[in-house]
Amino acid sequence: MNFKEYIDKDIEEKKILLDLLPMNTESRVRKYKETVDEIVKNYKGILSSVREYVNYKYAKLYPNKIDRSSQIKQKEDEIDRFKSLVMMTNPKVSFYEKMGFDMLIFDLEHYYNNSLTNNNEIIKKMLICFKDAGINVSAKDFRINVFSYNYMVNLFYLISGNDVDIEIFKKIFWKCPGVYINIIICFRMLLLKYERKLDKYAKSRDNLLLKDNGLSNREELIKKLYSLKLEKKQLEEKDESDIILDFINGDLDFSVYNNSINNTYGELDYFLINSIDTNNESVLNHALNVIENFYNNLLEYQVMYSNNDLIDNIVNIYNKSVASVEKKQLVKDYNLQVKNISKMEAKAKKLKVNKIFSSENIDKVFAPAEFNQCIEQQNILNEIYKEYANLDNQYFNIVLKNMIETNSFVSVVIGIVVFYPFFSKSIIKNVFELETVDEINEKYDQLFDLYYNPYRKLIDMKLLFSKENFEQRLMDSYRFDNLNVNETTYEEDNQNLIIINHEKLINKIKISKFSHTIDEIEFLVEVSKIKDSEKEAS
Amino acid sequence: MNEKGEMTYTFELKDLSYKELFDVYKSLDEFISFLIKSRDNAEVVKDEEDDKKEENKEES
Repeated sequence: MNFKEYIDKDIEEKKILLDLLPMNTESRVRKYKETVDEIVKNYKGILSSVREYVNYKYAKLYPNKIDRSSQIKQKEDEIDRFKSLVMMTNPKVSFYEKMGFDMLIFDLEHYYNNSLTNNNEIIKKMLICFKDAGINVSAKDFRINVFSYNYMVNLFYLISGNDVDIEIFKKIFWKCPGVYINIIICFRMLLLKYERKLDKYAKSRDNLLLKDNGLSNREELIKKLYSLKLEKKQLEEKDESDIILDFINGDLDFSVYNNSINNTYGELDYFLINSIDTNNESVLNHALNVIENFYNNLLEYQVMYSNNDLIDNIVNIYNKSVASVEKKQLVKDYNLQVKNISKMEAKAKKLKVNKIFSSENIDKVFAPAEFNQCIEQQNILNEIYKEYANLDNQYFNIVLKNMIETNSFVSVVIGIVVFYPFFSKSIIKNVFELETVDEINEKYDQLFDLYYNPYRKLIDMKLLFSKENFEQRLMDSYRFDNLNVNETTYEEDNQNLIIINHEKLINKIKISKFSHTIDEIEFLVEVSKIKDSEKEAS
Repeated sequence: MNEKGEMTYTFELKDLSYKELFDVYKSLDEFISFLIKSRDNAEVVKDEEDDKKEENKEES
């Protein structure tokens, strides 16, 4: 007899004994209570010893969580750095995207979402880009409007290390809410003016940027990005302590695993058409590899389909404004628009209101004579701003013409989204009805990851202008590999089932290699439940 | 055997498996709760014979 058997027997005997005790008088009840108290006292002593031993065993078995968050953060930073490099050295895009002007302008266009300090930082970054390319920009370049000029006079003063009261920027903004729009217009004028110089600079630094990061070409850069992503994925993968802690915390249901743990490869029956011999290592590894690829493809499928509206939107733009127009005509339209904007800018500059620039006293603008002209000028500037948006669309049309005409795969559309974030973010904003820059950036990053995905397969398979049954094609391909994919696999509920079963299969394989036995894990899970209820009771 | 003549046992907790150890822990915990509850709810329970005896007492 071991201790458990003894305790079980003793508890039964004590229960019978108590049942037999008469309780028909006060004194007998008192005697009953005294007997119970004695048993309780004795059993509390036993429990205390057992608890002490259980706590000792629990502490001994409790897994030490290895905190990998700083390593993951380090990988994320590296990935971000290499993502920027992917954009900066992309031969398909112009200096506008390479140098990040597109996104800086996009961010400044959302000035109302940023703090004043952030807006100044964005402007500073643009000025640095010009400086890096050897172009000197001064406050005079912002003399399209008295407010933009005064704003920049103060900002340049601040950048030079002088003390500037932040209130001056607020004051200017309150007097002219369109001041950031006016600053953007001036930057756009500078970008057109120095187009060639900036383009030459952006191209010249490609190799330098790669070399500085220990890379000899772009292929190496993409490989490096993929390997960093895989390294990050490995770091994020749950290890023994993570999984056991998930069981303890209830994030993973232990009972689901406990009942089938001896059948490590049980979930293979869910994934495969024909059973395999799991004792044959190469057959087993092949099946696991096929399932892993299928799982990664499913994740790609989900992101691809969640962006269907975006893809359709771009294809619609293409069909409506690009498909039937010659490329020459698109370029001609673009150049005409540039001339049109130049004329409007000249008109805005000629207004008398600009004569007060020398005073740098923005209060003067509100003298009655200048006030009307000021409003007139702002109206023209707002029109110019709209025309720049049209110019961007014309530029995007040329991009679409160049890229979709040569290839008709979904990957090209996603590629356009990735290569031209300024346009894609505007489209993302409209299609998904997003408000904040963070939300838009999150969606953009998802698309970037879809394109630069080490497991990428489906977006290269799906045709843009085809009515083929894509799922049928996938089904046929997977069934060649013994994967049980059928007409219903891609239904939402079944997609979730695949994810659940995949997680279970992977976890069970991991558990089979754990240093903890399944009994030890069960002990930790059950004891922690009691500890939790004791905590709640106290 | 102790001085009262009762059988005594010596057990080693380390002889128990994890499952058994946890079961013992749980059984003890539940049994103690059961005992405390029984004690708190204990009250005089009179059966039919007791009632008759009391009636006889009153008549005499």
